[in-house]
Amino acid sequence: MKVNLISRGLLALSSILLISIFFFPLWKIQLIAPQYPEGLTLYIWINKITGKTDFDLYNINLLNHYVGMKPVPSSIPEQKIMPIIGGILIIFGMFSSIFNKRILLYIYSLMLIICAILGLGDFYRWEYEYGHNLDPDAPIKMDPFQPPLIGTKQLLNFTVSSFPHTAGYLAIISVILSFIAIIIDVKLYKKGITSINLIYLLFSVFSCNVKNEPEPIKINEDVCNLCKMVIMDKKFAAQIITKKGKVYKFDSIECMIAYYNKNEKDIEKAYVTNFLNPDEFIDAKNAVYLRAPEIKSPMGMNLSAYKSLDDASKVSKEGEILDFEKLRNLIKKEFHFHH
Amino acid sequence: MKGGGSMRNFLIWVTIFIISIFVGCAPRKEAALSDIAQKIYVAPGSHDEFYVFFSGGFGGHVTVYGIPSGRVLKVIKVFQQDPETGWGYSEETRPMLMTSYGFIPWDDTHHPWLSQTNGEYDGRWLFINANNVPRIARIDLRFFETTEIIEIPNSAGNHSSPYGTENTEYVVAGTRFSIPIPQRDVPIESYKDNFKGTISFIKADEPGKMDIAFQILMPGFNYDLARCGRGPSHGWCFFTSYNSEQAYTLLEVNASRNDKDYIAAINWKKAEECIAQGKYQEMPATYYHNYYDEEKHMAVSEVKKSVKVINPKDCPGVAYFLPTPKSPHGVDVSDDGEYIVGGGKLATVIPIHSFSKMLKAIEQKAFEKDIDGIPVLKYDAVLNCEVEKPCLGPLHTEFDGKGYAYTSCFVSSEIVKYEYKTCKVVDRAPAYYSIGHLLVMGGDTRKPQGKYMIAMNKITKDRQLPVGPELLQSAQLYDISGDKIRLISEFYTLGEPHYAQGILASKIKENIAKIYPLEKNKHPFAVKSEKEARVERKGNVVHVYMASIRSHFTPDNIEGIRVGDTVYFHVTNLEQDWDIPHGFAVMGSEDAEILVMPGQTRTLKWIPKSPGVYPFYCTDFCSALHQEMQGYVRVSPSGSNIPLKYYTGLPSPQSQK
Repeated sequence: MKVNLISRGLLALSSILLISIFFFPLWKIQLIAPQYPEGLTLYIWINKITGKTDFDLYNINLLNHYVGMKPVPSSIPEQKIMPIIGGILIIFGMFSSIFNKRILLYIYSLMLIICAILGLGDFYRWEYEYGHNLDPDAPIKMDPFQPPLIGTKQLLNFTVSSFPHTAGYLAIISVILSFIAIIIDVKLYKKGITSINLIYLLFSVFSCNVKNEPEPIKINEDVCNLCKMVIMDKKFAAQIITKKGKVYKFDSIECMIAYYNKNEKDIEKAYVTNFLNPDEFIDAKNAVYLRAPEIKSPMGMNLSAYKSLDDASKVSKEGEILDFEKLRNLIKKEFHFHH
Repeated sequence: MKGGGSMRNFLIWVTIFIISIFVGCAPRKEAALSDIAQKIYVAPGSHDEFYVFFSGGFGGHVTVYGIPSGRVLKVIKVFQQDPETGWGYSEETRPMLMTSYGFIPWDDTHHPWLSQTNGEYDGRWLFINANNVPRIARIDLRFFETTEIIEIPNSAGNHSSPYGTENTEYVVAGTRFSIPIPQRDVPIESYKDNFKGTISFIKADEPGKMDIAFQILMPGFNYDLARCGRGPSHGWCFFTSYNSEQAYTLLEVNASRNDKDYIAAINWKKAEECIAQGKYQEMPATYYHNYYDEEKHMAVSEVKKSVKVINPKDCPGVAYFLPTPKSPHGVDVSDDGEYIVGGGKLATVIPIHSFSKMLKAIEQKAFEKDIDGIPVLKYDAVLNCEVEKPCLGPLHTEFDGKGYAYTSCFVSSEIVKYEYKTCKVVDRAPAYYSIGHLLVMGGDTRKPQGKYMIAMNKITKDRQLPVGPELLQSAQLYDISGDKIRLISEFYTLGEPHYAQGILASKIKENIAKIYPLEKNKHPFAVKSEKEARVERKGNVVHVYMASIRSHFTPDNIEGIRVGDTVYFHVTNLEQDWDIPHGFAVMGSEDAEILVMPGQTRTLKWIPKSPGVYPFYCTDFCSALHQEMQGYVRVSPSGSNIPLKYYTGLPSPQSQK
């Protein structure tokens, strides 16, 4: 199965963002103490551990020996594999985007989240090791502790804070993007919307083009814009879309036309409901209107709308047939609504 | 009764008047004080605007102050042995104090001079002279440490120094005391025949490469102070001289007879030409050049054997004399490079010469006479104007960049401010007491900052809490940003500062070194890690390769040392964190302690005299477990067969299981 273009784009962007792990640190651990107002800072990269200055790591280890913590190395064994895994993820993401297979997108997202969880879990485990495996001969005795994974903690004279850094944040965004890609894909798949009209839809949302498609009427919920009555019957409902893109709903054709007559210059499009198929809207200008006493419309003018003259004649043979302009004149003369 | 009533009224009015004075004035005075307090207040933790470098005088050091707060920031060790840091005691620094006279543990520093580029301070180096055994030192402003010292041959009383040129091509030196050149055994009465002065130009723009470029042989006067030209006068340096009488006894009378002495104008570009043309004499002379190898952490002495000497007779145009009243002390060149102010300490005027008039007078040969081949220019032909009755005992002058000059006056104990183009006095302010030098921030550059002025006084007396007969020297800080000179603060200085220079902190503070990188340490006895620490015996000499890091030494116990051994403790500080020095002191050491900065190696020599166990310890409170930072050296009798043994830490009982 093919994936829609948006999801493919998000997938590509997700794997491109992931490239940042080779150029920026993933995580930042900062230690601030009265004697270190400028702080000692560690950066955790995909393949190494560094200090903010050349000597921060050295100095942190020097201080750590007082509480018996093992020295932090300039890289841990995992960091030999992590760049390879990262590289595979990036390449896999890009291929998935190019080959356009739904299953690949799902595998990519799954891999991404698994790697993130494993990475954080490993980080937590290392921190646990450091905080709990204290040398019993250390000059300063300290209860075993868990350094923070995310957040801030006070450890003796040091305030230790641990947060993602540039590549960490970008990786989080990368994970989120892959999930958005899946969500969009699932929704569209259900609705059966193709990529082409989805793009058209998005264009119409994001561009300055005002939308002019009618919105479905919600029975017992939507309120008539003119008479303020709740719309109870779909069959008579009507709708106006203004040039600014606003949608006004009406409980009856007469209310809609009355509004139309007053505000013609602001109106982009008007719709009425097909009396024979209440889920279908008809362009108000092309509709055929029937005024028949046996059809009681909500505002008492007994108006209904149809796609064709034939449809209208099926419903009533006695009734008066009107076109849009005639209807407007009729409403002008006979329908006077007061708030 | 009537008279009594008017008397009572009078008394009431007087009382009201007096009360109104107190009531009316008190708040105003308070406002003025708080305004002054704001000018010098530097909040805790924030930095001063200027570094000011004061010479230490007979202390032999340089003291660094923050201005406007007046806080002491550092004492830089220069011409001295300093037991506090081990400067001049440690094996690495002893060569810095070597001279042709031997190891000299002391000197008298007078004039700090900040290196310049295009006539402005560039923040690279500070130079300072040694007056007693003629030398000039370079202080590297990345480290605030002395890194080079050159001895000046054919010189005595190196007072008119170092006062360099506007791109630091040269620093200069002149003889305050004329002496037989070359030195030889002659009767002092033969002064006029045998005694000469010299003016030396020392290449200064390459660190580690200071060298006497040339010396100019001068008449046997006392060459007192110097300034080099800037802008239009770049290429010239000016030296005051007194004792043109050539007296050699009771100078206070005999050297004060002439109404005018001279400012010597030296054309050093001309001198360079004469050197290039071979118009000089290569004179044998022994002098030391000591420099500190930044990577080996060790000073090296180099002995030089000759110097190029120019006789003005062989190099016409290299020197001229400008008559200047009377026994002039300071000579200072204005910020625009055009005016040369002489501080005639016995004169009733301050003479201001014009550089362009001097050039014209030379061109027109407006000479009044000739001394040893040096033309004496006519006073009127070079004079711009005289400041009439400025004060008593004018000495030194600095400039604020707004057309004003400030001259210190020793005898009347004040500073006088005047327009140097017109010689018009505009203000004066007292100094407490008997001011010597003064400084304006950037006052000897093309673009002085003005803003602050500092008086350095010779007499302190009642200005501070009394502390016995010996007092520190007082310094006063003035605000000169407005029309009026305003005294805003006072502080006390170490040694006897003669001169000081102030530089915007921003020109230095970003370049400061915080540590010495261990990986760049090329000291032959350095250890880069505790694994390399060891003890080696070579006959009767024992080298201890020792590491120090919070909070222990490696090794901390040493056995197998014997009476008769010479022990060298080579201590490397393995720290790489700012402001974590470790010290090292051993009981019974006849030398000082050593302070070792992060990444540095320092060596203390120790000759134990009797058997026993000698503790050593870290002297600098380095950490919470500083008191635990110690060790022992076991010294056995001479000829003992106790083997050499050393360690730090025994296996812990837990790990033995």
